[in-house]
Amino acid sequence: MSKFKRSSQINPEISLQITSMADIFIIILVFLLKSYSTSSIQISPSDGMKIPEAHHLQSPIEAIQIEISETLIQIEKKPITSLIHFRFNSEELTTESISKSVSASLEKEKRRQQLISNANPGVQIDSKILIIADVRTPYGTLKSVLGAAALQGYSEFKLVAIQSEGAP
Amino acid sequence: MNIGQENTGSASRSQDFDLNLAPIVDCFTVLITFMLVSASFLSIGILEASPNTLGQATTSPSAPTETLRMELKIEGVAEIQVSGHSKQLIPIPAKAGTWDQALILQTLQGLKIKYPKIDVLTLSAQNEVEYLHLVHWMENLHPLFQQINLGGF
Repeated sequence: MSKFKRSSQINPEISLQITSMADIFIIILVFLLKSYSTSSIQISPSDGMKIPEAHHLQSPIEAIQIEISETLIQIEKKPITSLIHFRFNSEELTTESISKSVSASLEKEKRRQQLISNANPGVQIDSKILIIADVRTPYGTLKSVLGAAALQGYSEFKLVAIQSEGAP
Repeated sequence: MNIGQENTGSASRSQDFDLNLAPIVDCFTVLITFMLVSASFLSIGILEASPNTLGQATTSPSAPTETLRMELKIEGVAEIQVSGHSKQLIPIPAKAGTWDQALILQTLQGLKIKYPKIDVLTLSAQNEVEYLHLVHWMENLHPLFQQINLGGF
């Protein structure tokens, strides 16, 4: 206490040296700007979803997004049908194990695209879909969704994964 | 901060400026906070696949006469099937309760040498096989085949 008193008597003005702080902030800002994603494609999986990891991935593209989580299937963030532990209710499936709701929703989307394409000849009908599925999704459920998409003319499936950092 | 000195004729005067860094630091703090909150440090990408129906529609003369199909079974067993002019069914037994990756890749490489025109593989799985394994196999098989189709529907 006495030491502080002594030093304050010698130099009553204590100024904070913020030049070095500004330097640090500039470095952090440059790092953040460099790592900031500038992609216009927004892929935001729902909470609790575990997206698979892969090493050799291509850049994401703009397409209709179908999300398969433990309890729900969403198309373009709109809930389409519910799932019980990643599985469809048996009433939801056709005899060919194709999801009725997903098929109906994609048919609606296809009609909308057709209308836009008719009005604007420059706009082409998109046959791509982005599949954002949880790692625990059984292939049976995935087949029902992909089958519905294929039935509606969607022929390019883009499976979303997280870029893995480690060695393959 | 000494910004500079100005010589005006015989008399020399020094001009000392103190740059006020406090508002700059304030701006940086706000910017960094905003970027930290809005930044996504996960890099997302895609794996391409097509429905198997497309592979069947090829009628080009250079199209391969054989098609290759692989099915993953829940017990770790895999089945590789060659259809077309030549017919072959190769079961690959499980290794330590999972798929024998080395043997599967070795078998497929052998088939690629035998049928060099084949560049499409149809991958399917039993209903219970999880998506994680499907993505894993799609990634493993991509160096061998130009296109991976998903089958079973």
